[in-house]
Amino acid sequence: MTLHAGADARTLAFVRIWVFAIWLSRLLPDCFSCLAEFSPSLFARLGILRLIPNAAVPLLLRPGTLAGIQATLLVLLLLSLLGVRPYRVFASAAAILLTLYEGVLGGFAQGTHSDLALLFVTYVLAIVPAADAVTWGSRKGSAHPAETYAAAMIMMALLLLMTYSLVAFGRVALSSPEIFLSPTMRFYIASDILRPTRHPFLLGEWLLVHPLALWLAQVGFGLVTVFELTAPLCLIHKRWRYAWLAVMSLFHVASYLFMNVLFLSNILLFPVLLLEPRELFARRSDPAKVATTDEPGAG
Amino acid sequence: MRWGRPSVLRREILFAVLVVACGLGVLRRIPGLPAMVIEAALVVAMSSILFAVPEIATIVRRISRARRTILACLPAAVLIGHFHGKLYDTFPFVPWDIYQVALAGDAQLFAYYAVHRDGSEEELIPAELFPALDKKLAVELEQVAHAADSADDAGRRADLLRRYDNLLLALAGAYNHRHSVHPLVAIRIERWIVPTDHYAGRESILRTAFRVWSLAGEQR
Repeated sequence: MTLHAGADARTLAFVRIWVFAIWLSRLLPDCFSCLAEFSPSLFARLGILRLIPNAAVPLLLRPGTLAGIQATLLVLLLLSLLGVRPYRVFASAAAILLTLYEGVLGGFAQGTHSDLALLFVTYVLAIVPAADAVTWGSRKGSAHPAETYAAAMIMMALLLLMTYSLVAFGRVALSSPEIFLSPTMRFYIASDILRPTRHPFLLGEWLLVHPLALWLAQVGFGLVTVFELTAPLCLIHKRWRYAWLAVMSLFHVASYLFMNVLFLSNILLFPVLLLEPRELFARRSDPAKVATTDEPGAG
Repeated sequence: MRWGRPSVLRREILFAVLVVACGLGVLRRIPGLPAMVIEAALVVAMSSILFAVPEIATIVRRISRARRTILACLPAAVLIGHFHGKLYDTFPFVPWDIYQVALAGDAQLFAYYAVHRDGSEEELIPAELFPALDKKLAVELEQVAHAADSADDAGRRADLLRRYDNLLLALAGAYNHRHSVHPLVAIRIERWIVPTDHYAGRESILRTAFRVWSLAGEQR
């Protein structure tokens, strides 16, 4: 059975709460106004941010404006999390301001992949009826067909999985097999582990001086690439999805411990987008409720 | 693992063959075949698997045309951003080019130290001063320094060094806001050459002076 084919309004509502809660916890401790320390001349308007006139950039980067954006975002995120009406307006405004927020960060220092999958998922939540259940205050019964919820859930899972497969497609198309046969990981680990960072883990240094461990890391790089290549298959093969979740969760933990590279929002999206509610909350005593066929298209 | 419909299985086999051919570098040996075409072939092969699953096709068919169109725009934008390959043009839809190039040899990194008026020093962690940017600021400083080093054109080099100094000025400002009692007067930057092939702990790193940037605008 296809992942999330049986999703309903409550499933989507749960993801809504989860995703907006991740954003809230991400933004609440942030000092967005601290970015005003940077000269506006350092700021590059990326992509969609080019809609902002050049003359407005100094105004945008004032401490008061940045603090205002952060405060507005926090309110919008809370309203979206609670599903307060008009939900679509609040969620869309939150998605637009989150794009601005990520764009301002990327405008000063590029390499902003870590929250983009979360941002894409937020776009979906802003355009689908994600507040048909579990909302603050009363709400009329859902007027949307079941497929709407399923399509939204599948799309969010697909967008998350695409970010993995595109990385791997590029890697094998551009650099395979030499990237897997040369000591590439040694270079990447050394660069990532020794770069100044807030909470350095020094396990990567241990790895660098143990050839066998380093060889295992290189083998792991190849294995992870195979899982990245096949990421979208998680939508249609349940057991592959379980294996994928196990390997990629381990990969993210290992890349944090050994390389100081953390994709926290992706890890937090795994349980809600790549597991179905019945898999997440199933009781051990009732395995029949969890059983589904592993056959694509059997539904 | 039980496999499903023959049409899905056939496409999965085709995808696997394509992946193996890419993995072995067979397709790259075809003269004039750009890597982007190989990537596009992988995207098409994977998409064909998903579209061959009747359940997905049914869900797609049953949602309203407007919602279908809007939803389809998102993966399309992700693909356009990826294949266009320029962050500056397509953000938030960006190229997904993480760990894509085989690299070897020595790695070059930089370490930053706040220099106080009394001559004492403290390690400066850019991510601590700008938590929202995390490691990205250190990477940005690194890239600007590398670019300035390798710039042939004097004007371009001057532009890059101006950018570098402005980044350091922001670091100094953020540091001094937090340490108003014991502010920094300069930032000393060390270049680290890391011998990745025979790394033997931090003592094997070759450390050389890169720059001393002074808040007063004097560069020694």
